[in-house]
Amino acid sequence: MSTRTLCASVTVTLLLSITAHAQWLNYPTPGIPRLPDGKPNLKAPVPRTADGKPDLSGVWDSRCYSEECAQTGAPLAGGASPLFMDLAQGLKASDIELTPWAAAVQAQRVSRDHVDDPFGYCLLPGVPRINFIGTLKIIPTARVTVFLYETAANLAFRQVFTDGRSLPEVTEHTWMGYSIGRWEGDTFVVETTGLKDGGWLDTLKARPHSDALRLAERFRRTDVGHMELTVTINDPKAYSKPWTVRTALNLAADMELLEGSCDNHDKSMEHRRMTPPPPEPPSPGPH
Amino acid sequence: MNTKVLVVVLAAGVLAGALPVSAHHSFSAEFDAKQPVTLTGTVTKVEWANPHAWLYIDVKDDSGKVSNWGLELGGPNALMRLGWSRNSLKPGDVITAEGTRAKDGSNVANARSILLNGKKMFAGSSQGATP
Repeated sequence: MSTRTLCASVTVTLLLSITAHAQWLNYPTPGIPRLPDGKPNLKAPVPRTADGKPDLSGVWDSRCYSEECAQTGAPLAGGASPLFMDLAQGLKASDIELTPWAAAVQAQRVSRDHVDDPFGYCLLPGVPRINFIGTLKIIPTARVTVFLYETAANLAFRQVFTDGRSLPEVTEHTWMGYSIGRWEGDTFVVETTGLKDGGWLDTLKARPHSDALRLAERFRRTDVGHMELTVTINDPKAYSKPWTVRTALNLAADMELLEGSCDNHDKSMEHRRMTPPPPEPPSPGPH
Repeated sequence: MNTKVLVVVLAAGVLAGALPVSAHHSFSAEFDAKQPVTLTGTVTKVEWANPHAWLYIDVKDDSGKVSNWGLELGGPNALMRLGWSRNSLKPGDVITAEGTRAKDGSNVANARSILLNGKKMFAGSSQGATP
């Protein structure tokens, strides 16, 4: 056993040795195939819906809740995915070419020590960033697949319409955008538009997106416990060419979403000493 | 250092510092990474609320003067998933916190870990690889 594996094992053992008391945690999720010892069989084949498509149902997280998962080096629960900090982690610098507008916005955000991050003000972290900060639940239905999100600061939802509609001409731009979904083989492809200027793609790098962002997320469940997620950023106002990130989600078996809200935000704000954020230049028109 | 001790130390390191943790806000906007603090004191109050739980402790300095410190932890969601409950700490408990002091020099710190009765608990806070 390598030192890293040993450390991961000890870490998970430490975590699991503490009993969780929350009523939403440690309730066995019905319908999950299980091993003889009762643990979820995360390597069991992909479950499928009546129409033969992969069933994406479940609580998912970019972080780990099992010893097996932690041994891959993924961050443990309580942490944040590295992609929350740097969405382009693992890419070459040349893979991402910021436009002058995007470079200026990013420079302003970094120069102000990231204090203007809207998520720090309890606003929604936006997509795709919200996939990497908290826990999410996917609820497929016949005409819409619902994504429910929990973060420490807020609760959010996305309605991914699968009834055949097209992406509309968006007049009201939002943090989470407007999404439609379709199947390409066993991959569920979610396309999103209608996102607003001012969004942050990631936290440490403070990369902006514009209201022209057309986001593609490809979800492919590979077995009970694992889902591949490929994210493509196509935002000609902010990046001179599209760029793609490949990552994974892990099934958070035997737990549910928890409520997250900014109940205690005032306390945090008391300790923040900052000037009001200067306005960011709007992305080049049209909007 | 034998292997067992090394593993425990490394595992504690993973828990305490190497992880980018649930950063709801900019860590460096509030806390000075160059001011690590280790505080031992008696819990006076626990505020168990998202997005950050807060823990208050009375700390006695070398001259005997007592100061009340506020410690920012991760939110209850992160803490519960790490095995905490709202009753894990209560007034009167004596704890040792490792963390980072606020930039403004006040008696405020971001807690990385809490040691209680010989058991070290990761505080799920915004410390780590945050900006």
